[in-house]
Amino acid sequence: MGEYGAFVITDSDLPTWVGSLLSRAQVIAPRSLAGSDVSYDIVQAPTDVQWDYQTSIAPLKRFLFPPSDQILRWNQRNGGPLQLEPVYDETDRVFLAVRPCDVAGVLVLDRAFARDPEDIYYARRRQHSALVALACTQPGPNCFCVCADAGPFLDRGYDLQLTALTGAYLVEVGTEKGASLLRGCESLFEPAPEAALADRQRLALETESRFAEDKAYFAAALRKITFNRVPDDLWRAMGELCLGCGGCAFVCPTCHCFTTADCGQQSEGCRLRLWDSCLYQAYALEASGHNPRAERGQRVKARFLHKLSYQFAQKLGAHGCVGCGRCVTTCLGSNDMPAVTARIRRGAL
Amino acid sequence: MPYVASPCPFCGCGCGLYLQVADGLVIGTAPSPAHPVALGRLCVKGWHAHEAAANPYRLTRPLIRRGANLEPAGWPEALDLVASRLLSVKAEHGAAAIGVLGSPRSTNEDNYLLAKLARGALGTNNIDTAARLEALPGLFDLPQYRHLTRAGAGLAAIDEADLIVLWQTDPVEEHPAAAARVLRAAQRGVPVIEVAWRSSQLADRAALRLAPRPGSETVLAGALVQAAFRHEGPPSPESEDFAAAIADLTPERAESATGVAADAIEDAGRLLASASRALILYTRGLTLQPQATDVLAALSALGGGDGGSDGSRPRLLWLGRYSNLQGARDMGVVPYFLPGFRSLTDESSRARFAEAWGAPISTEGGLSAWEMLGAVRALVVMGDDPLVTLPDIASAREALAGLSFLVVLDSVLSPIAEAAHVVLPGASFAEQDGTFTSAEHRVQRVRACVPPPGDARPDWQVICELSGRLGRPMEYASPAGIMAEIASLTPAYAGVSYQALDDSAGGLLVEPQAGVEQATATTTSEAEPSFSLDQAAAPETDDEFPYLLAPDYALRSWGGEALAAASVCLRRELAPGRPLQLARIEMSRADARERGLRDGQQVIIRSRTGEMRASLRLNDAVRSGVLALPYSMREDAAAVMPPELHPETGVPLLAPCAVSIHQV
Repeated sequence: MGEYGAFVITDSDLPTWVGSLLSRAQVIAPRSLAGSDVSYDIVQAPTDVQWDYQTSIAPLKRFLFPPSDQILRWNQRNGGPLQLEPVYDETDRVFLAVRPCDVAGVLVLDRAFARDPEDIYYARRRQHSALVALACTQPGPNCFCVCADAGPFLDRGYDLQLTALTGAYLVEVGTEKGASLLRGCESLFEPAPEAALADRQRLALETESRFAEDKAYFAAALRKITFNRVPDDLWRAMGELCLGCGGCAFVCPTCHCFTTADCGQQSEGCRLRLWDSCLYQAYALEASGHNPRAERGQRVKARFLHKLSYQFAQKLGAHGCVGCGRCVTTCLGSNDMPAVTARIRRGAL
Repeated sequence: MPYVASPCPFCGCGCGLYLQVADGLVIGTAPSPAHPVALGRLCVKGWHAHEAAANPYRLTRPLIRRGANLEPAGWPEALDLVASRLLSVKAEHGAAAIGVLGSPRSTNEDNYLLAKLARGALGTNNIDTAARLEALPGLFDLPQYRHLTRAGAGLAAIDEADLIVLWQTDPVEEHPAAAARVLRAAQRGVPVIEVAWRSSQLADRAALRLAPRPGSETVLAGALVQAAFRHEGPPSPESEDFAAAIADLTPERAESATGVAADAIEDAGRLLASASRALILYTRGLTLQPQATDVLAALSALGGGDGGSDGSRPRLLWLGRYSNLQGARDMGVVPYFLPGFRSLTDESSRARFAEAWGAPISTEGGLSAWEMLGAVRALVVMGDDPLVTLPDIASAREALAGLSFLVVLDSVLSPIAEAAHVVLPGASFAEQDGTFTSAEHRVQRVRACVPPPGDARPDWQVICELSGRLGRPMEYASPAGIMAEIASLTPAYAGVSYQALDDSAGGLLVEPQAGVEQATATTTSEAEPSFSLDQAAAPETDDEFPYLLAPDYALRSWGGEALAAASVCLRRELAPGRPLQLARIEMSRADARERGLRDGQQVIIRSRTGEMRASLRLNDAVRSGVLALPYSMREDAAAVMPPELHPETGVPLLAPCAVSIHQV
């Protein structure tokens, strides 16, 4: 519980602290959009932060691994030498009041992009970002982080973790980087009293009891996928329920596939890194014209093999799902994580 | 603000999304759970819409043709040239020698100004969009057919339906937002009837699959009405001619004409009769076929535009292919109507617009996009792709080559822009303020969230500049002012303002026909479309030509569109493969086996009129006895399946034809 200590800050002092963060870094926090939509977004003022929200429409990865990202620029003028310039984003960012499931998602990305060779574009952004979680006390109807060891409260991975108490927030400090976010505002933070820590434990237990029943029991699906005991017919049937939008990959906090494209001319251009999805028919298409995953069912199988098999979990240090529930909303067909794990458990649609 | 709400720029569904903006670029999209159409979902196109907005193939400078090349130029030079060429054509040959094409993917404001430019500044009623002919071949905007396309149901009707008929449409390919709703309905147990000779991915969920021989759909439509009527479903057809035409159409007769089992027709009739909230979904797979009016007349006899308030008849839902085709038509980008579907023949409407626009409105009827080609000497095009959308591409290309002046305003170098004398770089949907009106008549705000690249300018500013050079200055501070003018002149848009749109959740639904009945004297009764089975049969096959070659309007149909082609991922994902540079023909595995043909093989297709080479692809979704040709490859098949002029409209359409298939 806060390796670097735990503090409390009153609700009324909170805007002052957020103001101080805004003066030091780009702050990305939940913000209200159209209608009831809330998303992590760049905020300009403490009042922009929507503290009371269930979930963001999109995970944090958009800011660490943007959907379309210039990673290299070149130019060659008048027959001169070709100039190559890698593009790094070293903006200081504080991700404020983000949900534990989304922090857990970033931890999976950290492992994925750190694999040799390290992905320098991601690493630079990540080095310049701090994660301030807001423990979740209001799980949404599609949420199942409890099944994915990713919430509703974090026990690791955060720089700071906030918990809304009555009239104040508990602030758990997880890292030196987290501690640095309090500097200059020390007077706003009091050491957390025992009662506050007890409240946090009570809230964590209460929140866990509020999740809907029967969300996503992974255990059976993990075993069946790991040992290849899911019938091909079931994959094929689930393939027919995939409408190929790719949305599951794009809303997933842990998915990290991309493609690259060189744009422009020799005289001037750029290399783009673009989000890609394993559900796309041309994702695995080879130059020869051969497609090892030509059937939709094969693509669905590949996706869930990467998400849930032990072999892949070992590589990433975690399964590829944090239980955020976004795929339940976004799947154009009906292959969201809870639905798929339930079908695999049953062995039938 | 880094997240900006916008409607998706692609199809007519009108899904809401967010554009993610960083450092002056649109770098991503996100779905909107609160949006009434999107419901937090997007299709592959929506997920990559940002690539279409910020793509490296954007036009950034005006281009002027010098010899064989289009060379960069400044705005004043380009605009002066356009104005002087248009004025000289007008002086020499009259205003009717100029044609104007508006855009199904530009804003209402841009289309309105273009209509004003055409009818006011240039003095011609030759204004249309080629996409209108593709989606609803000209005739449906003719007065006698208007009631067929009158405001039907919206997308939410899919959720409310207790029976869904997919009539010659593949929503998974064409309108995924609709497909998602149909899939969910089917999973809830709502019966789905699929009518198509190439089944869609939803076929597995369908309660009934009716796969008529291509060309025999009219017979099937008539037989279904007859069967439903016999099961005491919808009230009997009002038209005696229609009742007589279908009187003898027993399921058995229909079976021999269509190849659809009599039992299945009976079952479908029973389902239609027992449903209380049936919905018939159709797209260009129906409207582009030569017998479209007959089929629609039959389906209307079942339903009618809004299905009747008591829900006793099925509702019809037409979904268009473009984000703002409906809006372009509302804005008067139709040769026969002023904005708001006010008739050109109505003197008071003409007077109203003449006063508002400060220019007389010609009484000379306008030409459709197709009629313009070959008839006009100068053509002004804004964001339209006649070489992608018109059924007869070869003739269109030939006609364009004969123009003495062609100017194209677009954000990318579309195929028609490559043939232009002057190309003007416009703004994308993410670079200017405005509105789109979706197929279900939902008006939504398009927002400028990044500046146009290079020297490109918002289209409305370009039109204003041009109008001034033509001697009719247009003064607007912003597109909001243009919308205020639209609202004052068009009853359907009377309640539309940017403020009202910003305050709304997911835009405002409008009734496009509002106020039109008083203004136009056309009554539907005297213009009842006839239903005829005369042309209704599938082409005869025989031993020499045993297969039917038919255009597939849905199969990978988005790949060739300018917006999709400009996106890296969409080009890869949606462009139909052209193995060996040949058109692709698809046939079922069983048919191929019978002929000893393999997947990927080169074949020759012969018909009574000619032959073509193609690459064969096996696809079990295709009905036995049919060869499917992706519509985007129709030009390759022109010798085998030449476009035929529709007798009523003169618009060329493709009809299935009998062919043989041979190994090379």
